[in-house]
Amino acid sequence: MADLNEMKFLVVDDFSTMRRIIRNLLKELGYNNVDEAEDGNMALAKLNRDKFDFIVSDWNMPGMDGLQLLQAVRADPKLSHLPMLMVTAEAKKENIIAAAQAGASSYIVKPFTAATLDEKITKILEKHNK
Amino acid sequence: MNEKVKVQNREQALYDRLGSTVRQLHTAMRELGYERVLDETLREITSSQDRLLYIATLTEQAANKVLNAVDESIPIQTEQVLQSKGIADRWQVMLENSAVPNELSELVSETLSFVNRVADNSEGEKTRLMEIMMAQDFQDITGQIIKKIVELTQKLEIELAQILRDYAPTTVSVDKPVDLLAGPAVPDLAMEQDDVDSMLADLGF
Repeated sequence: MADLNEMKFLVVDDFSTMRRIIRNLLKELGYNNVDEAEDGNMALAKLNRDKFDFIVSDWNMPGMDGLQLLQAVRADPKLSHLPMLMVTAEAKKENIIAAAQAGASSYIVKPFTAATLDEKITKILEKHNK
Repeated sequence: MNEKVKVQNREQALYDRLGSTVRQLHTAMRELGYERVLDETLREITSSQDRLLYIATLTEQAANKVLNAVDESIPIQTEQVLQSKGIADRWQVMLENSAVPNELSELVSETLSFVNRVADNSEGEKTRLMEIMMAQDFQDITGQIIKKIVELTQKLEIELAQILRDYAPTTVSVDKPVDLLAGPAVPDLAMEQDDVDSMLADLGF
Protein backbone atom coordinates (compact mmCIF):
# COMPACT_ATOMS: atom_id res chain seq x y z
CA MET A 1 0.00 0.00 0.00
CA ALA A 2 1.10 3.53 -0.76
CA ASP A 3 2.48 5.93 1.81
CA LEU A 4 -0.24 7.16 4.19
CA ASN A 5 -0.40 10.68 2.80
CA GLU A 6 -0.24 9.46 -0.77
CA MET A 7 -3.23 7.16 -0.32
CA LYS A 8 -6.10 7.93 -2.67
CA PHE A 9 -9.61 7.85 -1.22
CA LEU A 10 -12.92 7.61 -3.06
CA VAL A 11 -15.87 9.06 -1.13
CA VAL A 12 -19.24 7.83 -2.42
CA ASP A 13 -22.42 9.57 -1.21
CA ASP A 14 -25.44 11.06 -2.98
CA PHE A 15 -25.50 14.04 -0.59
CA SER A 16 -22.89 16.65 -1.42
CA THR A 17 -22.94 17.89 2.19
CA MET A 18 -21.83 14.49 3.45
CA ARG A 19 -19.16 14.16 0.74
CA ARG A 20 -17.73 17.53 1.75
CA ILE A 21 -17.76 16.63 5.44
CA ILE A 22 -15.98 13.31 4.87
CA ARG A 23 -13.47 14.94 2.51
CA ASN A 24 -12.64 17.59 5.14
CA LEU A 25 -12.35 14.99 7.89
CA LEU A 26 -9.99 12.90 5.77
CA LYS A 27 -7.92 16.01 5.07
CA GLU A 28 -7.74 16.73 8.78
CA LEU A 29 -6.52 13.15 9.31
CA GLY A 30 -3.76 13.78 6.78
CA TYR A 31 -5.31 12.17 3.70
CA ASN A 32 -5.27 14.90 1.09
CA ASN A 33 -5.86 12.80 -2.01
CA VAL A 34 -9.64 12.44 -2.15
CA ASP A 35 -12.03 12.00 -5.07
CA GLU A 36 -15.84 11.88 -4.92
CA ALA A 37 -18.66 9.96 -6.61
CA GLU A 38 -22.42 10.45 -6.36
CA ASP A 39 -23.44 6.81 -6.55
CA GLY A 40 -22.17 3.29 -7.17
CA ASN A 41 -22.16 3.56 -10.95
CA MET A 42 -20.04 6.69 -10.95
CA ALA A 43 -17.79 5.14 -8.31
CA LEU A 44 -17.22 1.99 -10.39
CA ALA A 45 -16.38 4.08 -13.44
CA LYS A 46 -13.79 6.02 -11.42
CA LEU A 47 -12.41 2.87 -9.79
CA ASN A 48 -11.89 1.32 -13.21
CA ARG A 49 -10.24 4.42 -14.60
CA ASP A 50 -7.94 5.56 -11.76
CA LYS A 51 -6.03 3.79 -9.05
CA PHE A 52 -7.56 4.10 -5.57
CA ASP A 53 -6.42 2.80 -2.19
CA PHE A 54 -9.54 3.17 -0.07
CA ILE A 55 -13.33 3.49 -0.54
CA VAL A 56 -15.67 5.23 1.90
CA SER A 57 -19.27 4.67 0.82
CA ASP A 58 -22.83 5.48 1.80
CA TRP A 59 -25.43 2.72 1.42
CA ASN A 60 -28.72 4.31 0.39
CA MET A 61 -28.14 5.98 -2.99
CA PRO A 62 -30.15 6.16 -6.20
CA GLY A 63 -28.74 4.21 -9.14
CA MET A 64 -26.30 1.68 -7.74
CA ASP A 65 -26.42 1.61 -3.93
CA GLY A 66 -23.52 1.04 -1.55
CA LEU A 67 -24.14 -2.68 -1.04
CA GLN A 68 -24.28 -3.30 -4.78
CA LEU A 69 -21.07 -1.32 -5.16
CA LEU A 70 -19.46 -3.40 -2.42
CA GLN A 71 -20.53 -6.61 -4.16
CA ALA A 72 -19.26 -5.35 -7.52
CA VAL A 73 -15.91 -4.36 -5.98
CA ARG A 74 -15.48 -7.69 -4.24
CA ALA A 75 -16.40 -9.55 -7.44
CA ASP A 76 -13.81 -7.73 -9.55
CA PRO A 77 -10.31 -9.26 -9.23
CA LYS A 78 -8.72 -5.89 -9.98
CA LEU A 79 -10.63 -4.15 -7.17
CA SER A 80 -11.46 -6.88 -4.67
CA HIS A 81 -8.43 -6.09 -2.44
CA LEU A 82 -9.58 -2.49 -1.76
CA PRO A 83 -10.62 -1.63 1.78
CA MET A 84 -14.21 -0.39 1.77
CA LEU A 85 -15.72 1.39 4.75
CA MET A 86 -19.51 1.81 4.86
CA VAL A 87 -20.74 5.11 6.37
CA THR A 88 -24.51 4.97 6.47
CA ALA A 89 -27.71 5.85 8.29
CA GLU A 90 -28.96 2.29 7.69
CA ALA A 91 -28.43 0.95 11.16
CA LYS A 92 -30.48 -2.22 11.46
CA LYS A 93 -28.85 -5.45 12.55
CA GLU A 94 -29.68 -6.96 9.17
CA ASN A 95 -27.85 -4.12 7.40
CA ILE A 96 -24.66 -4.69 9.30
CA ILE A 97 -24.87 -8.44 8.72
CA ALA A 98 -25.50 -7.96 5.00
CA ALA A 99 -22.59 -5.53 4.69
CA ALA A 100 -20.27 -7.83 6.61
CA GLN A 101 -21.26 -10.80 4.49
CA ALA A 102 -20.68 -8.81 1.31
CA GLY A 103 -17.17 -8.04 2.50
CA ALA A 104 -17.30 -4.54 4.03
CA SER A 105 -14.07 -3.63 5.85
CA SER A 106 -16.02 -1.79 8.56
CA TYR A 107 -19.26 0.02 9.25
CA ILE A 108 -19.95 3.51 10.62
CA VAL A 109 -23.46 4.66 11.50
CA LYS A 110 -24.47 8.24 10.78
CA PRO A 111 -24.36 10.61 12.51
CA PHE A 112 -20.75 9.88 13.38
CA THR A 113 -17.76 11.69 14.86
CA ALA A 114 -14.31 12.48 13.49
CA ALA A 115 -12.82 10.20 16.14
CA THR A 116 -14.90 7.23 14.92
CA LEU A 117 -13.80 7.76 11.33
CA ASP A 118 -10.16 8.01 12.41
CA GLU A 119 -10.40 4.89 14.55
CA LYS A 120 -12.05 2.77 11.83
CA ILE A 121 -9.65 3.83 9.07
CA THR A 122 -6.61 3.21 11.28
CA LYS A 123 -7.91 -0.21 12.26
CA ILE A 124 -8.69 -1.19 8.66
CA LEU A 125 -5.24 -0.09 7.49
CA GLU A 126 -3.48 -1.94 10.31
CA LYS A 127 -5.30 -5.13 9.37
CA HIS A 128 -4.81 -4.54 5.68
CA ASN A 129 -1.07 -3.98 5.92
CA LYS A 130 -0.39 -7.03 8.05
CA MET B 1 -74.26 -32.45 -1.03
CA ASN B 2 -70.55 -33.14 -0.84
CA GLU B 3 -68.03 -31.29 1.33
CA LYS B 4 -66.53 -29.26 -1.55
CA VAL B 5 -69.89 -27.82 -2.62
CA LYS B 6 -70.65 -26.89 0.99
CA VAL B 7 -67.39 -24.93 1.29
CA GLN B 8 -68.04 -23.20 -2.02
CA ASN B 9 -71.51 -22.17 -0.87
CA ARG B 10 -70.14 -20.83 2.37
CA GLU B 11 -67.50 -18.78 0.53
CA GLN B 12 -70.13 -17.43 -1.85
CA ALA B 13 -72.25 -16.30 1.11
CA LEU B 14 -69.24 -14.61 2.65
CA TYR B 15 -68.44 -12.73 -0.58
CA ASP B 16 -72.08 -11.68 -0.96
CA ARG B 17 -72.10 -10.24 2.51
CA LEU B 18 -68.76 -8.51 2.05
CA GLY B 19 -70.02 -7.07 -1.23
CA SER B 20 -73.15 -5.67 0.34
CA THR B 21 -71.17 -4.18 3.24
CA VAL B 22 -68.80 -2.44 0.83
CA ARG B 23 -71.80 -1.11 -1.13
CA GLN B 24 -73.34 0.26 2.06
CA LEU B 25 -70.07 1.86 3.02
CA HIS B 26 -69.74 3.36 -0.44
CA THR B 27 -73.25 4.86 -0.28
CA ALA B 28 -72.72 6.17 3.24
CA MET B 29 -69.42 7.79 2.28
CA ARG B 30 -70.90 9.41 -0.79
CA GLU B 31 -73.72 10.81 1.31
CA LEU B 32 -71.15 12.24 3.68
CA GLY B 33 -69.31 13.86 0.76
CA TYR B 34 -66.21 11.73 0.69
CA GLU B 35 -65.32 12.76 -2.85
CA ARG B 36 -64.73 16.28 -1.61
CA VAL B 37 -62.77 15.04 1.39
CA LEU B 38 -60.62 12.83 -0.82
CA ASP B 39 -60.09 15.62 -3.29
CA GLU B 40 -59.00 18.02 -0.56
CA THR B 41 -56.75 15.42 0.99
CA LEU B 42 -55.13 14.86 -2.39
CA ARG B 43 -54.39 18.53 -2.80
CA GLU B 44 -53.04 18.79 0.72
CA ILE B 45 -50.75 15.85 0.12
CA THR B 46 -49.31 17.50 -2.97
CA SER B 47 -48.81 20.73 -1.08
CA SER B 48 -47.08 18.98 1.84
CA GLN B 49 -44.75 17.25 -0.58
CA ASP B 50 -43.74 20.62 -1.99
CA ARG B 51 -43.20 21.94 1.51
CA LEU B 52 -41.08 18.99 2.53
CA LEU B 53 -38.93 19.31 -0.57
CA TYR B 54 -38.61 23.00 0.16
CA ILE B 55 -37.33 22.18 3.65
CA ALA B 56 -34.79 19.84 2.08
CA THR B 57 -33.63 22.58 -0.30
CA LEU B 58 -33.39 25.25 2.41
CA THR B 59 -31.47 23.06 4.81
CA GLU B 60 -29.11 21.97 2.06
CA GLN B 61 -28.45 25.58 1.12
CA ALA B 62 -27.84 26.51 4.75
CA ALA B 63 -25.51 23.56 5.27
CA ASN B 64 -23.56 24.47 2.15
CA LYS B 65 -23.19 28.08 3.25
CA VAL B 66 -21.82 26.91 6.59
CA LEU B 67 -19.46 24.45 4.88
CA ASN B 68 -18.21 27.16 2.51
CA ALA B 69 -17.43 29.45 5.45
CA VAL B 70 -15.74 26.62 7.34
CA ASP B 71 -13.68 25.71 4.25
CA GLU B 72 -12.41 29.28 4.10
CA SER B 73 -11.71 29.55 7.81
CA ILE B 74 -9.88 26.30 8.57
CA PRO B 75 -6.81 26.97 6.35
CA ILE B 76 -6.53 30.48 7.83
CA GLN B 77 -6.42 29.04 11.33
CA THR B 78 -3.93 26.37 10.28
CA GLU B 79 -1.69 29.06 8.81
CA GLN B 80 -2.05 31.15 11.98
CA VAL B 81 -0.99 28.24 14.19
CA LEU B 82 2.08 27.60 12.04
CA GLN B 83 3.15 31.22 11.82
CA SER B 84 2.70 32.06 15.50
CA LYS B 85 4.56 28.90 16.52
CA GLY B 86 7.37 29.89 14.16
CA ILE B 87 7.63 33.37 15.65
CA ALA B 88 7.51 31.99 19.20
CA ASP B 89 10.36 29.61 18.37
CA ARG B 90 12.51 32.44 16.99
CA TRP B 91 11.93 34.57 20.07
CA GLN B 92 12.76 31.62 22.26
CA VAL B 93 16.06 31.00 20.44
CA MET B 94 16.98 34.66 20.68
CA LEU B 95 16.18 34.80 24.39
CA GLU B 96 18.38 31.79 25.00
CA ASN B 97 21.33 32.94 22.90
CA SER B 98 21.64 36.67 23.32
CA ALA B 99 21.31 39.10 26.12
CA VAL B 100 18.17 41.17 25.75
CA PRO B 101 18.51 44.78 26.91
CA ASN B 102 16.62 45.37 30.13
CA GLU B 103 14.25 47.90 28.65
CA LEU B 104 13.13 45.29 26.05
CA SER B 105 12.85 42.20 28.21
CA GLU B 106 9.30 42.88 29.38
CA LEU B 107 8.12 43.53 25.82
CA VAL B 108 9.85 40.38 24.60
CA SER B 109 8.25 38.13 27.19
CA GLU B 110 4.82 39.70 26.58
CA THR B 111 5.19 39.22 22.84
CA LEU B 112 6.25 35.63 23.34
CA SER B 113 3.29 34.81 25.55
CA PHE B 114 0.98 36.59 23.09
CA VAL B 115 2.10 34.58 20.05
CA ASN B 116 1.81 31.40 22.12
CA ARG B 117 -1.72 32.37 23.04
CA VAL B 118 -2.53 33.06 19.37
CA ALA B 119 -1.35 29.56 18.48
CA ASP B 120 -3.47 27.98 21.23
CA ASN B 121 -6.53 30.04 20.34
CA SER B 122 -6.23 29.19 16.65
CA GLU B 123 -5.94 25.53 17.54
CA GLY B 124 -9.11 25.84 19.63
CA GLU B 125 -10.84 27.71 16.82
CA LYS B 126 -9.99 24.90 14.41
CA THR B 127 -11.53 22.33 16.74
CA ARG B 128 -14.71 24.41 17.00
CA LEU B 129 -14.83 24.85 13.22
CA MET B 130 -14.59 21.08 12.79
CA GLU B 131 -17.48 20.72 15.23
CA ILE B 132 -19.54 23.22 13.25
CA MET B 133 -18.73 21.27 10.10
CA MET B 134 -19.70 17.93 11.66
CA ALA B 135 -23.01 19.41 12.82
CA GLN B 136 -23.97 19.92 9.16
CA ASP B 137 -24.39 16.17 8.79
CA PHE B 138 -27.97 16.73 9.99
CA GLN B 139 -28.72 17.69 6.38
CA ASP B 140 -27.88 14.24 5.10
CA ILE B 141 -30.11 12.58 7.71
CA THR B 142 -33.07 14.98 7.42
CA GLY B 143 -32.74 14.91 3.64
CA GLN B 144 -32.97 11.13 3.55
CA ILE B 145 -35.97 11.10 5.89
CA ILE B 146 -37.76 13.76 3.84
CA LYS B 147 -37.10 11.82 0.64
CA LYS B 148 -38.62 8.70 2.21
CA ILE B 149 -41.72 10.57 3.38
CA VAL B 150 -42.19 12.19 -0.02
CA GLU B 151 -41.98 8.78 -1.73
CA LEU B 152 -44.53 7.43 0.71
CA THR B 153 -46.98 10.28 0.20
CA GLN B 154 -46.55 9.98 -3.55
CA LYS B 155 -47.72 6.37 -3.36
CA LEU B 156 -50.63 7.42 -1.17
CA GLU B 157 -51.47 10.18 -3.62
CA ILE B 158 -51.58 7.76 -6.54
CA GLU B 159 -53.83 5.37 -4.62
CA LEU B 160 -56.20 8.15 -3.59
CA ALA B 161 -56.31 9.58 -7.09
CA GLN B 162 -57.21 6.14 -8.41
CA ILE B 163 -60.04 5.79 -5.89
CA LEU B 164 -61.32 9.20 -6.92
CA ARG B 165 -61.19 8.31 -10.61
CA ASP B 166 -62.91 4.98 -10.00
CA TYR B 167 -65.73 6.19 -7.77
CA ALA B 168 -66.23 9.87 -8.43
CA PRO B 169 -66.46 10.28 -12.20
CA THR B 170 -67.76 13.82 -11.91
CA THR B 171 -65.09 16.38 -11.19
CA VAL B 172 -65.36 17.76 -7.72
CA SER B 173 -65.66 21.52 -7.67
CA VAL B 174 -62.56 23.30 -6.47
CA ASP B 175 -64.02 26.41 -4.86
CA LYS B 176 -62.25 25.90 -1.60
CA PRO B 177 -61.69 28.86 0.74
CA VAL B 178 -58.09 30.09 0.75
CA ASP B 179 -56.26 29.21 3.94
CA LEU B 180 -54.76 32.43 5.29
CA LEU B 181 -52.59 30.61 7.81
CA ALA B 182 -51.03 28.14 5.40
CA GLY B 183 -47.56 29.02 6.64
CA PRO B 184 -44.34 29.84 4.80
CA ALA B 185 -44.87 29.46 1.09
CA VAL B 186 -42.91 27.33 -1.29
CA PRO B 187 -41.09 29.52 -3.85
CA ASP B 188 -42.96 28.64 -7.04
CA LEU B 189 -46.25 29.29 -5.26
CA ALA B 190 -44.89 32.27 -3.39
CA MET B 191 -44.81 35.78 -4.70
CA GLU B 192 -41.50 37.57 -5.13
CA GLN B 193 -41.10 40.81 -3.22
CA ASP B 194 -41.56 42.69 -6.53
CA ASP B 195 -44.94 41.02 -7.04
CA VAL B 196 -45.92 41.83 -3.48
CA ASP B 197 -44.86 45.46 -3.95
CA SER B 198 -46.80 45.88 -7.17
CA MET B 199 -49.81 44.26 -5.56
CA LEU B 200 -49.46 46.62 -2.61
CA ALA B 201 -49.29 49.53 -5.02
CA ASP B 202 -52.44 48.29 -6.75
CA LEU B 203 -54.12 48.15 -3.39
CA GLY B 204 -53.20 51.75 -2.75
CA PHE B 205 -50.39 51.36 -0.21
